[in-house]
Amino acid sequence: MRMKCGILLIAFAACLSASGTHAQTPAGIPDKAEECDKRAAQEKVAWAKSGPHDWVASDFNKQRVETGQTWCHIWATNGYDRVHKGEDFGRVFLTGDGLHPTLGSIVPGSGLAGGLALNLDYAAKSHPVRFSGAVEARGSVNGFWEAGGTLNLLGSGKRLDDRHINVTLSAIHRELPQLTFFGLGNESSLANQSLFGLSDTTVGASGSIPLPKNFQILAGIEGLWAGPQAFHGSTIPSIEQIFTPANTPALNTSTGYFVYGAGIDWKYPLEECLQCWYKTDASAVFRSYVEGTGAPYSFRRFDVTWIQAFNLFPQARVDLGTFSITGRLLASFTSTGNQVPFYLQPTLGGTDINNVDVLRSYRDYRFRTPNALDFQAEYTHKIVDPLGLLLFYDVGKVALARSDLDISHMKHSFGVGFTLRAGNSVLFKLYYAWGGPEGSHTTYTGNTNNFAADSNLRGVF
Amino acid sequence: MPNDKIKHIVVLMMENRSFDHLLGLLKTEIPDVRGVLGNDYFNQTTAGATMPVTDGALYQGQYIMDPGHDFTDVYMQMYGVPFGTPATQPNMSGFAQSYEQQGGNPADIMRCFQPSQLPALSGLARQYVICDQWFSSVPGPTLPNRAFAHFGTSFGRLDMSPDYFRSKPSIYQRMTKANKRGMIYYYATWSGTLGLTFLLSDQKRYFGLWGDFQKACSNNSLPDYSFVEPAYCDHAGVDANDQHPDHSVQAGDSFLQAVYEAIRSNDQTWQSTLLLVVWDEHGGIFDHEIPPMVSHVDGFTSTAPPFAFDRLGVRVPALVISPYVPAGIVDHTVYEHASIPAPVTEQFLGPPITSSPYAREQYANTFLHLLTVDQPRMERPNFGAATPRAAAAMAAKPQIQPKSQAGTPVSALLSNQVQEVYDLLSRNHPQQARDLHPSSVKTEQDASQFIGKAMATIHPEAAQAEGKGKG
Repeated sequence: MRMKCGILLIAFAACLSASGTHAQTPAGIPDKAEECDKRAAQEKVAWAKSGPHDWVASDFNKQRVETGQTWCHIWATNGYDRVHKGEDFGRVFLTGDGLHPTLGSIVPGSGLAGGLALNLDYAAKSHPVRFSGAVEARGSVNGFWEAGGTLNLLGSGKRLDDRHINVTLSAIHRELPQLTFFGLGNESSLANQSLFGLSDTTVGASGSIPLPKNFQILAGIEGLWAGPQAFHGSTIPSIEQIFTPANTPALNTSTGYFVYGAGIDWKYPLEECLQCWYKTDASAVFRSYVEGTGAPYSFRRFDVTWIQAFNLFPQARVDLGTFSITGRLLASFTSTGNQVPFYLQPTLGGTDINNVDVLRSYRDYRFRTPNALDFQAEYTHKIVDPLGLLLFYDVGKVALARSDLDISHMKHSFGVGFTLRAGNSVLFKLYYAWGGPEGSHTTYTGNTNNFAADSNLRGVF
Repeated sequence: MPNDKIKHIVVLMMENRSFDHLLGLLKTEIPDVRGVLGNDYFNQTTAGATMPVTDGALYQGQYIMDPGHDFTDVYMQMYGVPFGTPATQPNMSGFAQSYEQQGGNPADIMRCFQPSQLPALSGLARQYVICDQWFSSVPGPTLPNRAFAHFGTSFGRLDMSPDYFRSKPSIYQRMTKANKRGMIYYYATWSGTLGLTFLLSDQKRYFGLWGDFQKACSNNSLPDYSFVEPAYCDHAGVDANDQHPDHSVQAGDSFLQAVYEAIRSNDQTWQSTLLLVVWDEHGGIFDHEIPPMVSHVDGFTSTAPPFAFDRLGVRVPALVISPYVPAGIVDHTVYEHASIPAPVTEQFLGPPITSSPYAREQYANTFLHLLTVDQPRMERPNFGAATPRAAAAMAAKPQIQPKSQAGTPVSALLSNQVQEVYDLLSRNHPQQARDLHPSSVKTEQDASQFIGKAMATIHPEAAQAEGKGKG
């Protein structure tokens, strides 16, 4: 049986296919659950007898049998056990090899989205390479959709530390018909809220190469095509009704880029540990965006992230939670006459287009410029598995000029939220944030692909 | 008997490979190993084609179709007939057909690794003790077998539903009750732990991660008992290293070496630690040894399918590694996974017969008797790794042909082993040693007979076990 990962690592086949009368009933499991296992075993044997089957067909069949079995388990158990059985079902039904439904959001504002993902794994015989791939498409109630595929190649040659070259090939297209735009800069006005659509396509490759001392090199190349559109299906004005190309770079212009870049990542300690009192994850990446049609929108970007997590009193018998501080700096560079298209500029406020939370009391995409700096402090604590508590404090600012990137006049947010975890990853997050002059903001994010835990984030998105 | 030099017992349990598959071909250099030579055992396909046991096992890509290893699959593999067809005596003839039924290539299920493909496993095997009669506790899948490792029983279960362990007294809780520390070190949060998830509510008491294990080794702060779990899945540049088909066996071999090196990172840790490396079950892959009957059943039985837990599962590889075991010894004692908590109990809690809660553990053979060396051995194994290219070439070699070992001159390694066995015998059984003369050993057949005689004296239970195994 191929194992699935997650903090509750469970496999789901049973081998009960006949009944006897003489022996005692094993303690600790309801009879109904045994019936589920028996049925699954009978289906498995029937499949084996009807063979031979190719491996893809067998993967699909395994998914079908295990989905039925874990669904059956939910109704065969009671109380708190049902929560875990629900997790098991979710993991089997929504992730792993084979075809799965997916549910979540696409970007902030997309509304609830659903789709299908096909995941398959394969290992090469003659070369030390392991492949895992997925294709996925999902659409949302607000007309957003995205589709794409990824193929991950992982080296599997001999290394004592088991760290390998990792390459991901990907192709993704998104149609995001109504994103909000308030103008550029920290002083943009809520009254200028407008909507625009964005289509973007990326095709590329990225990879990492392990180095000594817990460093790794990051590198990537990709083609990026992006174009804004007007959006007139709302009482909120379309972007071109409020803004002009003079104050909004590339307002009416689609762009196509060859993007290449490299960087470095450092983790300490490299190996995960429960009894370490801190963990550091830092990266710095430099990318060059070369506009391919000659339009004046070429730029370069420097992106630095530092995450410092503290495990509170790791030696204590009671879990006291984790406190983390995250700092992010994003600086853009342009040659004379060039600008960064507004739709490729980073945003602070709510959740950004990459589903990263920043300045959470503000509206999604609230502040936008080529440069941004933000810091976050978060405290997370498990209440009752799988429910967790989240407390946070965010500060940040955007800057039209790099020289304005400092820690003065930063905006701030604080708030409280709840997380629903599946294994080690957050499946669903709900929070309420306030702070600053623009009121409060309640939001949620979720993605059923996270059911596989962050180890094997399945699907594409 | 507890050994006062041992302060820590560490168990590394890997996934789903049989003894013949990983260690069987060591017989070509250590004749005392009850392994294979190639073409000396075979299974037949449904159409009657002969599938001999051969080398040619690959690190990955050979078992894209996971070989079946549920109870019904293993029944077919052991008895050669489909589950439900009455059979009395296993003959290990159904592996090829079982895999064929699933759509796999039946020839692949008979393939074994050359020792040079697995430098860590082979290096450790040559340097420490090979247990060549270690059987999985249950002719079935992962969880009931791991249950025996943690509880000494699977409570009558043969399936993969994990909940039946809940609220049962595992070795970890028993250790805590006696003011001892037993911990599970799983690889990472993204990899997870198998079966004992209900203990996660007391995470800090019972669990650590791979980084914690390394740190505890280097600080000489290992708990009394540690159970180490490999990575069960690929993640962000890290290969799954559990060796479950179709995960990379090479990654698992490296992890085995990493565990050993972690313990060697501090001399005090090394000199107070006993490491057992064992696989949970055979994963549907061929092994020729017939699993023996269980000497003491524990009263738990399965109703569906009916099974009295009176026969062990398919044989798995196992090594006992410690500075206090002699080099290159092959131990023929019959073990099963209840032999994991049993020596932990024996070492830290009291005699298993009175201190273990379940009969299988109470009567399981323990391996503490292998600790016969007085002064800690500090030499290191030779991990001279075959490069991936060499390994690939090795895998592509023509299948080996059986050949008689009888007249082959004894190798330096074997000669050394003969001398070490003789030294051990002289120390512990000087009377019997007088009848044996290591200088007379000229051929591999001589060596095999010499070691066999010596071991029959050193481990008389091994001779009995051999008899049972052939029964």
